[in-house]
Amino acid sequence: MARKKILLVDDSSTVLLLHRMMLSHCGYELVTARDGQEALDKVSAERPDLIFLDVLMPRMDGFQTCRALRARSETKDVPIILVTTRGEPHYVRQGFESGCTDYITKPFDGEELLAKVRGHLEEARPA
Amino acid sequence: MREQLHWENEALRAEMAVLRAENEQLRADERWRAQRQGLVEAELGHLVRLRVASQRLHETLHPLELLDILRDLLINLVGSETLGIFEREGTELVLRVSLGIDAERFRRLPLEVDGPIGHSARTGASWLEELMEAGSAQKRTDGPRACVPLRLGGHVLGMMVLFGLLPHKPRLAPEDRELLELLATEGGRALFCARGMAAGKPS
Repeated sequence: MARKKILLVDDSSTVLLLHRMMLSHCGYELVTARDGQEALDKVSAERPDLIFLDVLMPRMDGFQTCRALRARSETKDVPIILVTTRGEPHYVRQGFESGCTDYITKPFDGEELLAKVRGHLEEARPA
Repeated sequence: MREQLHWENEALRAEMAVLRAENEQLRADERWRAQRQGLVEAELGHLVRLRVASQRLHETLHPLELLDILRDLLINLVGSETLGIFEREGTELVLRVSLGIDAERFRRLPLEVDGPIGHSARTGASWLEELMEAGSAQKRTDGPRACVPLRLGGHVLGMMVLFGLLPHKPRLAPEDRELLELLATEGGRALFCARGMAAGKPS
């Protein structure tokens, strides 16, 4: 069975490395992008099964990127998890309005991260 | 015939009781495994955080880049967006990198300054608010919540000061303390090496 592919979008090397270390040895294939524009450039070729999207990024923030991803046929149904340092309700609402599937607040623990990944990849699995 | 059916019925009942017991045992095993998996993943997550911090601290030999990496680690692994990172210059702490604070107010601090920053700088001991003051959340002012010296061999080379944590993070967890301790020692060692390289000689 093909490995599930996860696109990680974050301008922080720390967060990318943390995701990579947590997820790669659980059998997932990982692709990274440093900002929203790079993510949009990569999705057509990479076809990820799940996207982690940081909110505060240069060039194009996570909300804008999320809206742009939802407007594309190849990513309109892909689960998108926003990664944010802000857990306040209005930020969360803004995230859902931009089309995200779920969100996770930094700093997150490994257990929470793996639970989110498993949950959304299971939900996205075709019947 | 009737008696035989009775005995068959009894045998089936007994078999069902055994299956029920087995089923219950399997459920208990599953619950135990799920609990174990949670604990293992939590521990794995913590170890990965330490590993990430250690790896990132050795990515550069430029002092300012190193302090930027420290800032990134404090934001993304500890969960603070109001912080300052100082380098020691003689009898002063000089602010090099900051986020979300009035940098001018903290530009240069004498080591003799009152309060936890000065105390940590003089003694080399970390100061974490939650450990020092019971019920401190109510008493908090705009002072620091954690002062962690960057140290090597008993020498204080700098200081990480957290003035606040992210709104959804009420306090430092025991794992955060372990991570801060790693940043103090590994960060101190990395800063010493970077300074040596910047001065034109290997440390």
